[in-house]
Amino acid sequence: MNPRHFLLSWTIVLLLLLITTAGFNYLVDPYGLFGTPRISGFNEKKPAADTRVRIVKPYQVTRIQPRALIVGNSRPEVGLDPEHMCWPAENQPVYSLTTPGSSVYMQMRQAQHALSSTPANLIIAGIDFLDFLVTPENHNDPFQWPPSVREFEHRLSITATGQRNDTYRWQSAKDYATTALSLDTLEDSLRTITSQGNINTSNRTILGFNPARDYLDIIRSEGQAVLFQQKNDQVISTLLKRDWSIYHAGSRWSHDFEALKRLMEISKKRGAKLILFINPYHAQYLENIRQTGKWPLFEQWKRELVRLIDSDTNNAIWDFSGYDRYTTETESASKETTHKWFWEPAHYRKELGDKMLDQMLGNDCPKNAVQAEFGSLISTANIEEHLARQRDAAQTYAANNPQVITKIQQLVLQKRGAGDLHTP
Amino acid sequence: MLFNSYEFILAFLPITLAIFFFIISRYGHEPAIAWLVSASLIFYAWWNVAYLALIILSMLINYGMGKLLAHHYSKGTVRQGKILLTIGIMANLGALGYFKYANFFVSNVNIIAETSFQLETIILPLAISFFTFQQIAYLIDAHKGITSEFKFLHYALFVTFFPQLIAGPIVHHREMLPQFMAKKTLRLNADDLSIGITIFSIGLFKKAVLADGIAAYASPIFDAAARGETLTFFEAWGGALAYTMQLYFDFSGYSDMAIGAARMFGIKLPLNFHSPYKATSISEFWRRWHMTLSRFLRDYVYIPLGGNKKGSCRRYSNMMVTMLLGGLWHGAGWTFVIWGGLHGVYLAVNHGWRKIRNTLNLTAGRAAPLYKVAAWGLTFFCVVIGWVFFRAADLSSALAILEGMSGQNGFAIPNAIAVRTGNFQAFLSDLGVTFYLGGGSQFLFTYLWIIALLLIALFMPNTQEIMRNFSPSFNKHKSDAGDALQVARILEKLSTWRPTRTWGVFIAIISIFGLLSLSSVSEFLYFQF
Repeated sequence: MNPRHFLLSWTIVLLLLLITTAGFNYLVDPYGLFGTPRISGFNEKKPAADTRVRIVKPYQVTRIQPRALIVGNSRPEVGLDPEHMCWPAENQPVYSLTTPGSSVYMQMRQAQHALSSTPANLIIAGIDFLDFLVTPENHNDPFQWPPSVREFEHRLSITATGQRNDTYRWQSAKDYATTALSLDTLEDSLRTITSQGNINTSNRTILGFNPARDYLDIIRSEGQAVLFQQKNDQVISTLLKRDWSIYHAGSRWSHDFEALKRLMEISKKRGAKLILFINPYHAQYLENIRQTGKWPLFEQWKRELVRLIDSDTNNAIWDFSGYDRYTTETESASKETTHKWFWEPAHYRKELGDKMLDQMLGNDCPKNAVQAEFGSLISTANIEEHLARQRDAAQTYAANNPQVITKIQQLVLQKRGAGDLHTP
Repeated sequence: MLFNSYEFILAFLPITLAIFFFIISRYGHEPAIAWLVSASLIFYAWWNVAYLALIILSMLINYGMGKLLAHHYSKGTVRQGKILLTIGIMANLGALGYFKYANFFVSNVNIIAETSFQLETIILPLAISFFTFQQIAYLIDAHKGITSEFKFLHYALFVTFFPQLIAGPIVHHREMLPQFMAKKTLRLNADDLSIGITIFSIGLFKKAVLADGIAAYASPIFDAAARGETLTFFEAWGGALAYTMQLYFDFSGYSDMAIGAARMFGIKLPLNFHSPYKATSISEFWRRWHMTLSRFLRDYVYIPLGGNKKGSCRRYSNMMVTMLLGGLWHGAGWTFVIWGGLHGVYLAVNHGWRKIRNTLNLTAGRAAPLYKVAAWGLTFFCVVIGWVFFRAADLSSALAILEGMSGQNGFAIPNAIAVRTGNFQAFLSDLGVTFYLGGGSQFLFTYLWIIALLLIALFMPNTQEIMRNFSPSFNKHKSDAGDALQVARILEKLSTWRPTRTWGVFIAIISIFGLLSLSSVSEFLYFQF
């Protein structure tokens, strides 16, 4: 019983534990922040990376030094494979700088960060209808640039106006230190090690791709129909929640269009090639848009996009969001079988992403890659014809799939009945 | 600066301690106290420099008032003293009222009179509720001749001493000053340092690991209620119980950290928390929850109102007034008033029952296990209902949660959990339980956390009990076996702290958990009051 003995052993053990924890977290690197080598069976898969994508990816991209980027939200993160065979050799490695739930502004800012700190000169960017929805009562001036600084921007090496970000070094030091010395990280490190045996564990590859095999576990236990239903539910709720528009009040423009325009300008200035595409949606998703009365808005959005893109001849935009043999696949009721092309109505599988890359990187594709007929290049020249074709396709789909239509109609009615919702 | 931040633990606390003991050994007592006051003001100004002017002004006025009151006391001019005291109290309450309640008052006037007065947004200065009460108590004590202070520096330390400045314990001048003055307490001493580190580490663990850990399961439910969503039985109870545990470990952790930090300087703060959820009656609950506030309300509101000396009718109304004020003290909102009123009713029922029990001579069964468990269950249930009002953003969201808890909105469990129960699912379905998609792990972890933390709160010894051989706080809590659930003897014995190597290792593990949780910082709930 001597307080000095207590203090001495407390100090020594505390320091030992601090060093051990930091060392262990660094070695396992559960979020892929430190770039510690990935060892099969030990830390190759990163089941916890899911929770830190926003923090980690901007650091990863500067470490990987890619020559091509995939930009967008969770859809291209899950669907587009940075290791697809059609990527040109001179553009390897490819990094997927995609963030789930990110706004167009965040995507643009992350791309800006990557362009300023890596040799990337090819960008494939997926754009998404829901990311462009704004409420008319939003009175923000869409032309005000840059908008006020958001938290995530501290982790980007340059500011929105292209200046060096002075807080970047301090922020990255803080991120590295607090990640190494954190209980959450320790828990995630242990989970990382114990999850290596599960082939379907959630993961982010070293190139930022999300193989999304964790969907398979859910499909096996609850069935893919549940995933479809849950997503339809969510999408319908979101679409009905507000009186959506694609323009801010009093203008025919929005922050999101402005951010996309800036992305085009920045790529052009850097001499990087930018290929834009609209993500494919499963026909059920498109039906959600139709039944909630947002189809005209969806069309207007595409018109606005082609107008923006045509102003700059360097860019092209692919539309994969139509009805075709991939997106109209019927859902399977059994827990044993899965959809070939979609995980759920919003997220397409890598198999479909491969077809998209075949198309978009067509000229660079090795000869043996089979060219698929999927998606179309749209512009102001063909947009009306394209939209009319899609409207017809929607009618045909509805006629051939009455039970799907009824199901979605019921969901919409149910959500509308839930009150406090705007009718479109 | 939050206690649970890197700046406080890695910089402010060690630096303040080191400089303090350096000054005391080199230059003596008074300069060291001056340093401690400056450090405390820096600590306070860290949030907002503008607050500094207010607290200094408040101290100067109250110090002056206290001196005058002491003068009147020694001269025997009681009447003038009383007038002065009234002015002093009004001034303090006026400042508190302006900063804390002006907006609330105006918005209610607007509702009643259908007017539309507008005030500029008034920012609530941190800790004002605490330092106002502390100084009112000082004025009253000075008026009664219980205490007096002749040095502003000492007075300033009594008010600003950083461990207790922001959210208590609410200390008395007479408890603190003799300690600040004693030559032997303020010296670097391995005993106090090891005791302080232990208590602080336990507190940090409670806050950063336990309270913040369960917070993630409480907040979404209260947020959903505020958005007007309908909550089913298990969701509503999950949210209410998770918050019950969050608040407990948040405030108990904070109080431990305050006591521990003060002890490193050789100062003992009064006890503020003593396993309140173990209480088997509401009055015992209030003797164990935020003890220094209960003590203040008893000594400076309830007793001056007449306490229990003017018949039982007055007694109940005094109790009610005290609890309503106690509720309002926590925040300018009707939910706090309802919470206080609810506890006023609880206490009245509690006292009424005690009276009946005594008249019928039923005291014998009081320590019987079954009676105790039932009494505990009822007490805990009432406390949880109270916390729903305490936490909810407004009255309608509190009612939405209670509606869910009553089972009116049905019983639902996540599909992912239901499918794993196999044949049991059909049985549940027959009982009227419905199944929803998603939220499986949220559901599971909510209840796992609740059970784990409840077990700790109910059956583990508390910090004071762990440190029982080293007088961890200024005062002790006394109760008999019928008042609360008791800690098992064996646990009590195993958990008694001693300054040994083994305890050093064990506390280091507790400390590391706390330190490693600092990367996700959150404020203490009691800072908003």
